[in-house]
Amino acid sequence: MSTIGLRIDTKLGPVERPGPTRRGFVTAAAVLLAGCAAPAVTDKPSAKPTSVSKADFDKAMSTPTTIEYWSWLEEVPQMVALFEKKYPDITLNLSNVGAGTLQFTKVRTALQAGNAPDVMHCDYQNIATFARDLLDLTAYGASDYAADYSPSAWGQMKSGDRVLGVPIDLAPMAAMYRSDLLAKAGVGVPVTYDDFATAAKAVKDKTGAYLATLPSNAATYMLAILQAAGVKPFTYDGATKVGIKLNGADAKDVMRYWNTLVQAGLISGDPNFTDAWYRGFATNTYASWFPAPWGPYRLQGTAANTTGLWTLAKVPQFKKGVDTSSLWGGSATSVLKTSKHPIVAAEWARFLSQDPDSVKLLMTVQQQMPALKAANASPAFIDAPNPFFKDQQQTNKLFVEIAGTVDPNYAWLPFMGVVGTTYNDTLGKALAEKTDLVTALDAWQKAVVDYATQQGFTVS
Amino acid sequence: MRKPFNDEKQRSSILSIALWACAAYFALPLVWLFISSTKDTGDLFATFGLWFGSTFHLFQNIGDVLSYQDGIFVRWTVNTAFYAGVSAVGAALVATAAGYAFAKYQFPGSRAVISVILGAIMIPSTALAIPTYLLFSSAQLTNTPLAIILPSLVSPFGVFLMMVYASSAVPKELIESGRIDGAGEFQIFWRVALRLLGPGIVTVFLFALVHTWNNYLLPLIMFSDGRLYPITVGLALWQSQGASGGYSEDLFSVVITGSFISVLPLIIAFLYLQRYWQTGLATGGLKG
Amino acid sequence: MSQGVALRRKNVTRRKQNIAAYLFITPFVILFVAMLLVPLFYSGYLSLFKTQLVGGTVFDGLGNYIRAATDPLFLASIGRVALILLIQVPIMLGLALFFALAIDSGRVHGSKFVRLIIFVPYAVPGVVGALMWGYLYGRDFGPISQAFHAVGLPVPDLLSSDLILGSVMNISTWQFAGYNMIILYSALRAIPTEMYDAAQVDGAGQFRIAWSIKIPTIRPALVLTLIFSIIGSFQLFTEPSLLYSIAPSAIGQAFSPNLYAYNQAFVNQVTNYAAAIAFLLGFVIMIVSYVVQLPLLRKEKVQ
Repeated sequence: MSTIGLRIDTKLGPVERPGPTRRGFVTAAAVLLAGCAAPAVTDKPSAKPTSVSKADFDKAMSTPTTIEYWSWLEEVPQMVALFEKKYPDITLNLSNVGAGTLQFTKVRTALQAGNAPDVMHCDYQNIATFARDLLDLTAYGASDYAADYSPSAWGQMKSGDRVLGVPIDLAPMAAMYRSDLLAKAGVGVPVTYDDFATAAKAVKDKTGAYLATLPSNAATYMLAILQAAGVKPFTYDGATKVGIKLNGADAKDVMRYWNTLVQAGLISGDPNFTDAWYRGFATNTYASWFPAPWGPYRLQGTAANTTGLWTLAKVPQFKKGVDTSSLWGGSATSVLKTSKHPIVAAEWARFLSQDPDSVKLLMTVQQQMPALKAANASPAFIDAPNPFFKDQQQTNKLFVEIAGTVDPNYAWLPFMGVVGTTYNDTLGKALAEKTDLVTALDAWQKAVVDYATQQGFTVS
Repeated sequence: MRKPFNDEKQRSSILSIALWACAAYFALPLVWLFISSTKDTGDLFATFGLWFGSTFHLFQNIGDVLSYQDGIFVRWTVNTAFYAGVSAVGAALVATAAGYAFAKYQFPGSRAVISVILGAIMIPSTALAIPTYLLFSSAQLTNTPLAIILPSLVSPFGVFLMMVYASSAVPKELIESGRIDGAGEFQIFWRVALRLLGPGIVTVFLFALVHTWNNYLLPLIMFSDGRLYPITVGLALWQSQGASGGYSEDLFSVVITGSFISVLPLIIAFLYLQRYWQTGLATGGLKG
Repeated sequence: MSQGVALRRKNVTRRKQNIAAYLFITPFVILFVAMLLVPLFYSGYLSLFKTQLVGGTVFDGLGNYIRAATDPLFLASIGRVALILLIQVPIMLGLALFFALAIDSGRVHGSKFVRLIIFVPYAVPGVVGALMWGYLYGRDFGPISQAFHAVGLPVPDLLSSDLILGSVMNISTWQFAGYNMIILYSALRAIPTEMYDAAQVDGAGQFRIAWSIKIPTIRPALVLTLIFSIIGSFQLFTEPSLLYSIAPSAIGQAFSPNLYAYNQAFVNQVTNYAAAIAFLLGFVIMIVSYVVQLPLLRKEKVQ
């Protein structure tokens, strides 16, 4: 076993003391208010630097340092090995504390107790949630490589002027259909949602499969579908003002559409990423999915018997001639403000998504789409064959095309965990129990607004 | 223990069948677990849950579990055994000493203290989880084995059990004669009482063992270093990874076989120590 | 004079014994205070504050408690566990008693083995238990559904909102019936034979003996299992929290008070409110336990 052992951070920052203290919340409030207006809050308060000097950088990377990194990605241990090989004096202590919400919950508690990691894996939607706790990477060279990333990815890193993470992958939402089941139903790949409704009925009648799944536990999936239809429900000024409009007229139109399909019994509301859900693909219960590039890989083992039967396409559109999509997921590497080694941490964040070997791992191990423009435009990505869509060439090129149709300006609320649980209790529940979706949408709106008000935000 | 008073030969078939049917219900999920552990991933998803698949894959599955992620499961098992073992021994000793004192001594305040201790059994776990975490992290004790062991040493039920058990298992006369012989209180406890309290101690030990072994919430919030996890948190971690968007597809099979392996040690422990804890509970004054 | 000497010697002996007693209980008391009382009081302290994402932490007095007392989610969760209490506990204890009596009567073939099987679920960690039952309950692939399907009956969705309560109760019963059975069985084994001799002479049958002699004699054990079951029911957490991922709409974030407190603390980041909920829950448990044991338990002297 390595000698790292159990490194416990001994720093005592302003918000780490357990329990409420005046110093604690006054400082927290100050940080909050400062966060929106002023640009980079760095260790050098007087200057407004945009990168670290070479001397400082070299010194930092050659001083024996250990940094704590939390991530659940499968290929990360290999990337860590690459990084440690390049910088032998640096030790990267990787901890997998759970996927998604599990990790973010732990980060939140760790911040409260004062032993948060230096760097963490952060998905796009949670950047706003941790906006007060993440380091602005502008001072660490972020502006140097901003243009290297796809705009829709980079846009998600920003909170005001601050850059709060380095994007790892890009996750544009596409649609995949079982070509054999579509053929059996006598329909082609839907282009508009009208086509989709017709196809859904035909597929259900002739094959018994659900053409659409709206999982009862996937708020982000629903939000991505809404975004693809042009709905942008959230605004956040980085400090105390939030805008929440989940049940605007545009969203309601979308919900009315889906409600018709739900009430006709054409939609499965099963929760996703459960054992039963995976089997649904293997047993022809689901005839489509709206995945992002990281999606098909999930099915390759459990639904191996459907390999080669899928077609990748763009998501259906509500209006003919319009071509928009959205992002479903996507993650970044973010540095915590409490880190004592920001230079090393920022370099790791950069390395993970820019080092050629690291990017290669990203593309091959879990078949993700790199957010780095050079990578996702490269032949290695574009020409990579995907056995799931065996007869389709260059499915990754389609993902790149779709990524180009995503609006880079999409805001999230700083409490997405609650948005998720309230979704499960309202709209998700309606999907599972086939009650009216539009009413449930209103209920979701109310629940989120209630929470925001309770937490002291000014809600509009 | 008294022997059954009715004729040994007079067994009732109806009653036996009824009880065996019930036993089948209790065994059902575990049977499913065992059978699923013998399947490979393909069979797991394709075949009927309560019967075997096309191949007997158990040993390969066990191998997979033990080698997955560089053999972290072995480490988790060792952790669990360590936390549970140390906590159970400690809890049993501490509870025995306290229970013995409450049973055999009348000292000022004993009534009050006992009431408080018994009342503590009613405290909901979540009331303590976060404050304990915050207190431990200010003492720099999170992410150490002590974060699990220290809270697990407190067993109010164990004290109650030992108190009741000691009151009948250790006759007052024995203690008195020890005193007359000039032995100190501690000597009496160590030499005389402990021997008699044996079954009770084993009972408290076993229940504390189960409690710590199966504890999920406490290690979940105390540990962020995966190398310290007990099996419960480790399995839940693998389960969440499998659920939240894939990983290697073998993960389901690994979780199931890992779960199967995880239930074996406690079952064996209970089997092995059966006669002790049954006596412990029986003589524990649970009669009228 | 000798009386005074004797008295003094008795006092000295008394004091020596008291000191020994205090020493015996010291390790436990120190741990008890440190691991239970201190966090408890800290939790109480936290519950008097309010933390907002915007605005930090302020003193709020009993604000959290007032909010909890009028919170429909909290009240529903208390109602739910109370309902579980009223249904599941009698069933489980009834089963436990039946098993204990049956095995004690000596009329069962292979009683040792049956006893072990019924008890084994207690040794299974909650995570594994939820995993197993989650699968068995599955609407599409669970064996239970498949059995219904095979017989031609409509398949019940055991993870739906309608049936989830029963499904959760089933898991609790499965896990703890054996534990309670063992406690009751041990109590039965401790009954001296003499008590049966008279009844046997009178020609009483097994059921009669069970009803008139055994059950009343083990009343303290029954009350013990009842109180612990009550406490356990109110503290329900593991099963709903682990079933949440496969049945999120049926479970919701406030299925049980403990789950609600957990979600409030860790997901919603309102730790202070969670502390208040946990306190109120403890209060409810105390009241119910006290009320239940009042008419049932004769005061026992511990000497």
